[in-house]
Amino acid sequence: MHTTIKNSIKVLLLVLGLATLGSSCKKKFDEPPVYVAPTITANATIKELKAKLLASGTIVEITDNMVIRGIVIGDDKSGNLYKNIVIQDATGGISVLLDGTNLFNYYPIGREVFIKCKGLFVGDYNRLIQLGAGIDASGTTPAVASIPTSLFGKYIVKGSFNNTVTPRVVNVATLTTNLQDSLQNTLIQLNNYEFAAADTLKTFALPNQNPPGTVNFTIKNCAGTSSAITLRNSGYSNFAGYNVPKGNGPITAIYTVFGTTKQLTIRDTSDVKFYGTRCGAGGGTGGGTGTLTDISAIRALTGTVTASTKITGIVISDRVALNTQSQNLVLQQGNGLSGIVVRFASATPAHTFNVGDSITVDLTGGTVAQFAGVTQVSGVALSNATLISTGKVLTPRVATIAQVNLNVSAWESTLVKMLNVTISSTAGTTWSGTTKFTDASGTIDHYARTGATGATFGATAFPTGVRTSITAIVSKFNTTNQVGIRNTSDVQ
Amino acid sequence: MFPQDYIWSGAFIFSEMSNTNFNFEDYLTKPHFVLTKKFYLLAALLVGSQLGLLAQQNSLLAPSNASATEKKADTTIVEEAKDAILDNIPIVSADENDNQDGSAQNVSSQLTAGRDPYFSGASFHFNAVRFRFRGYDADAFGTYMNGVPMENLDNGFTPFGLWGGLNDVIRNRDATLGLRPTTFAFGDIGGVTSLDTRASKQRKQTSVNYAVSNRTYDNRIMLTHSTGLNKKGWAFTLSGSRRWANEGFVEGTYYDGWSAFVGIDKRINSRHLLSLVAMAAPSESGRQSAAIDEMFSLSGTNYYNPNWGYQNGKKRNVSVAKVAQPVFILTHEWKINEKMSLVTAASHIFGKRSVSGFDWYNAPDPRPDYYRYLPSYQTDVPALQQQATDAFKSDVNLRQINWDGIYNVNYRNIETVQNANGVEGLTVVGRRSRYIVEDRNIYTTRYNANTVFNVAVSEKMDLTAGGSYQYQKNEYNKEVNDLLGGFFYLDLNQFAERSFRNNASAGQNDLNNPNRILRVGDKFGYNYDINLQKANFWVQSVFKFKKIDFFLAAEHSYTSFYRTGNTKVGLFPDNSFGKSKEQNFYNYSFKGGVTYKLNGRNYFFANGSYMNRAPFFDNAYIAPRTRDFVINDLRSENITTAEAGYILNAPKFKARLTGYYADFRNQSNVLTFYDDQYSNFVNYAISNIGKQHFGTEIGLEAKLYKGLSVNAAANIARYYYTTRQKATVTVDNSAEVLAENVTIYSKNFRLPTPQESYTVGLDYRSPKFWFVNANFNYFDQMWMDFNPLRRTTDAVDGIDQSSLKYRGIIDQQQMQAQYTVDLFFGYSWKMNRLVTSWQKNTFLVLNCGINNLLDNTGIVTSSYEQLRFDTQERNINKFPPKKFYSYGRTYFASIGFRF
Repeated sequence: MHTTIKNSIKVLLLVLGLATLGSSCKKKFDEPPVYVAPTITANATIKELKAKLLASGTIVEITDNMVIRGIVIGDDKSGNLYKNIVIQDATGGISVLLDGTNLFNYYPIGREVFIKCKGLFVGDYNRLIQLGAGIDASGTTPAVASIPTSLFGKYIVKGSFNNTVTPRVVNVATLTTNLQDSLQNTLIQLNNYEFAAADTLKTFALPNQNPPGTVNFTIKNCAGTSSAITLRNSGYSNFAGYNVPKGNGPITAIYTVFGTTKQLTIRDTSDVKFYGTRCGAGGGTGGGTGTLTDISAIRALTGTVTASTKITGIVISDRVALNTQSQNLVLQQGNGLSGIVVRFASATPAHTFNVGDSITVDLTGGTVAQFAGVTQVSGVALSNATLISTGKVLTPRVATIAQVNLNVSAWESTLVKMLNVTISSTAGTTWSGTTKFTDASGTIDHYARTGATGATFGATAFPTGVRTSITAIVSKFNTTNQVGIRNTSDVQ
Repeated sequence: MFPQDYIWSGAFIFSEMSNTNFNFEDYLTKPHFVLTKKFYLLAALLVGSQLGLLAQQNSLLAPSNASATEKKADTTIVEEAKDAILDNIPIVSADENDNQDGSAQNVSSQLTAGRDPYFSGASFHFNAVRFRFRGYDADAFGTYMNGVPMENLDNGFTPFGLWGGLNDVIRNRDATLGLRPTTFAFGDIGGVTSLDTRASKQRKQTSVNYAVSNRTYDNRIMLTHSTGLNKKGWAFTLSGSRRWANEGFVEGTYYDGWSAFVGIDKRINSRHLLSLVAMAAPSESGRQSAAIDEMFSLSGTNYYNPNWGYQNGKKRNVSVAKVAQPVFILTHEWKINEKMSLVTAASHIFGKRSVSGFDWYNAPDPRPDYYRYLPSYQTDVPALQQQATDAFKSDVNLRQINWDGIYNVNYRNIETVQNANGVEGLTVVGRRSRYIVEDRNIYTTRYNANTVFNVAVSEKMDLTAGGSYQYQKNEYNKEVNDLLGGFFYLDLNQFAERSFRNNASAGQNDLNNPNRILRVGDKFGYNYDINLQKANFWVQSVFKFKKIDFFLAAEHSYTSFYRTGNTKVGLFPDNSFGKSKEQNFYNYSFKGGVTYKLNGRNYFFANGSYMNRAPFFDNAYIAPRTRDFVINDLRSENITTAEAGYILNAPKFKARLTGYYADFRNQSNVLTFYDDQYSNFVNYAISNIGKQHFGTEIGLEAKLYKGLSVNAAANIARYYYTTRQKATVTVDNSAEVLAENVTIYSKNFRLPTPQESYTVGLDYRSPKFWFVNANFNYFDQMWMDFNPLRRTTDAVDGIDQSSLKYRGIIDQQQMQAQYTVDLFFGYSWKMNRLVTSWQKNTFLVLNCGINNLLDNTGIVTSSYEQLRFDTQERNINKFPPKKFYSYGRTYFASIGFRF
């Protein structure tokens, strides 16, 4: 029995010892280091890379040892981009086709990437330039093939994180659909944009359709049609089901093209900061139909106002003194806001709006154009103008003549008040025709309409000496700056 | 019976990790006994009491082990998804043979003819192709230890891993094949084995053993000490082992298994023996997964393993299986009198097993062999396919997991979580892991009680009756194992989130704990329990006459199970939380048989059974992770089997010839896989599965000259699916039924297990205590497990029936015939001759085996069509079959001392 017990204890101790050894063997895995970007320099710009594509519809293999560097400005985190990222450098941007999903984990917005382009291919998808790894001839037209996942490491070198790319603030007019447009696939910002009123109850896209529906919106700023651009949202994006914002404000987006259509691609909803007051919402209310639009937006247009649009403001021209044609009136939206010449479709019957009348004018069907250098909206039916209230007082903008000369385009058709002005004329002593206003800062022409239907005060002598103040409407005659008083009481 | 017959017959099976590790220790120690008078005495005793003979029939375990490792290989190997989530532990099983007596158990006279040449051949040499006895699933076999049933109630499998590495203490076994009656259980259609690990039944000795190999593990040490019964009636056995490999045969795999065993017996008096055993075999292993041909070709090896990758230059395996489930068994054996005995036992098993894997949230699939990453996915541009092929061939990091990349994604992902943990206003900011390693846990609690009464009613009649009660609770959940460089993870279901964008709660795994922040060790994902109980009562009579024996047996059982959800799943708030409806089944089984004894050497037998069996939990619930729905028409299976044969047992020639037939009806199965078309797990609930198995087993053994003998075994069979199965298709993230009662044109498809296996070999046993054996093995009629989806009207709609494409979709693939050669050698040395001062007999035992000597690396051990099917283009090569290959040439060598 003793030996039995002894032996048993021996074996037991051995087993226990082994077990202890084993249990102490649990070691935690060593964690890999944070990725350190290798030192690599680019020897080409994105613009140079894109320039290899000489014509739309071709696909070109890059045979040079081109290395480009760009910052990711678009990834697939929201799902609005799919199987591609967009990178940009100082010279331009390009879409990189990657045959993978959830790419943002490795190539998030703000990450620097270097692409070794030799062996890659550039082509375009209806003028949108893409970088890929081959020619996919399996479809009806050859297309740029995506870079397979297994080759990411061969062509793409990951760099640092959190680089910022400031969007370039542009006007639609500066965007082109040229193949080599330097803004293509870059981050841009458009200010004071909003969705059309009729779209403000919609969602960004239609995720609940099968397959989910992609939606194109036309968004504009207060200038209306001339500022229109397409915003394209994927039905697969994670924001597809959210309502669009109803206000007005800046939009940041990647500028893309589809043929000759200018398009915007947002990364997620935070790119659309439409939280401000919508165009025209600050003026009068009621009267007429159409979307209330800022006069500044109308001024930015040219041609026929196709959209249902109205403006509101205070009449600053005097129909009695006739220094403004009887068929016209000058409307200023408000203190410090823009103004415009409204020319009714017919001279008869003449309108009856007086200085200080608050009115709305439906411009639909009217034409925005320059007349002798002055922006006017013409062809407006008198019935489209509605009186809201009377006796409104606008405070003119106080400015030196030099400032007026400087800002004449922005201030055109608004009231300014100039101080310590001397009136002079080379032609005579009356208001008729051109006289000159001079203050310490400079000189500007004044014009009083001449002839039988001209200004009623044309034959009146202008006061001499330094006048305390003169209020007038800023205008132009072709390229010459000029102002015009409403009546002689504007001269103090 | 000749002592020599008995001794030589010692089958020498040593199968671990589903590969045969040949071990002759026991065999080789026995010849020494032959030389001693003591041995003759012992042998005579054994023969006289007919106790030692059953032990020969042990080969049964080998096939069932192999199939258990695959988890239900029968029905289209539960493809990746479910496999990965609910997979069984890798089975480490010992299948060693010993000739010691079992217990106070009677023996069916037919088996006194000694060991079975068919089963020894089959279990030795057929493992390379995962041969399964009669083609049966692992649930067709039963295992008892010290009087209690050991099978899992949820799937009917025997968890061999629970005693992995304890080879020394499980040598006492009583394996009954097919339908023959036993004295300890009603039995199952494949057979039933009784292991006796009680301390007083262990040979009194101390054994130390060390082995090297290049298979699943590289090293093994085993220590065992048994005291035998002392004068005061006590016996103790202690055993322990460790098996380990820093890297196994397959790259990236590793193994570390420990085991410990304590057995205490107290013989109270000549009639009462009380036994307690406690054992545990905790293990951890890095696993291998099946892969497709493309990866085998790109990596240049058929042992490509997608589960690992370099982390900081070291290999790390993502699929780690861990098991720690101790077993306690208390047994009381009562010899009421010379004619009656009662064995009563109770057991308790508890503990966890887990398999780890990736979970990820809105990030690229981390698995390197994901089909979209592979060259074959680049079908549109041949030049790119070539580039990708070159990249895969030259860069191991593309073929394996990119751990460094995964960590860096997590390092970068700083996120703000609002209303964390469901607390309004609680905001958590930090590194939210996009990738984690999760453990898929199963915590089991099991109680078994069993009693068996044996009485010799008369000289001609034995009566056995028994009853058991089994209770099992399994808790299933996931647990965060490693945040991989992140600080937290969220308990969200990204698949549901994606599918139900306008329903914020759909993505919640648990509405009771929304937006839960998870750290290492936290449970998440699914969390549910299953509760099962089973009770049975059975009775059996064996009648023995001079020329004829026959028996009759009947069993009645009650099975009940239900699901308890511990989470309120966002998608199924009304069908996930709390206790589900209970499923109850009452079943009857009958069997009977007759043996005709022409003379002492020639026997004829015939047995038959009819069983009505409750479905297993595993096959009943459509998607237990998220809800409590059971399959339509859940009902009991019916199994009819018959076997008949002839046994010749002459001194120099042994033969067994058996024909068998089995018919399965009303079986069901649930298959689950991930389909990125639905972005989710798709479940196929298959019902009306019918199968027929029939075949012939042949075993021969002939002594040629002195120690030289020839052995041969063959199983020539056909296993067919006999019905058109019905499938109901659902998706995990939707209650919608995608398709109901789709007909699967599966009639006469083949079961995937090999249907023809042959072995022939030579043995030489030297009187100088060494031994050598060589066998040539041949396998044919091996079929790929098929995807039911491809055998539907929809799958081939509009495809010309005479086209190759049509045939490609419909036809079941056959594997090439294969061969292997195994070589074994053993030697035993009685050291007392050298060191005469040693009082005790001390043996040095050496043995070694080489499997697959000719290094045939083209043997597919199992293969299955992926359940995912390209329903648009119906291109079968988009999701090609996955395969495992049998190891090439491997060796095993051990040295042991016994004293």
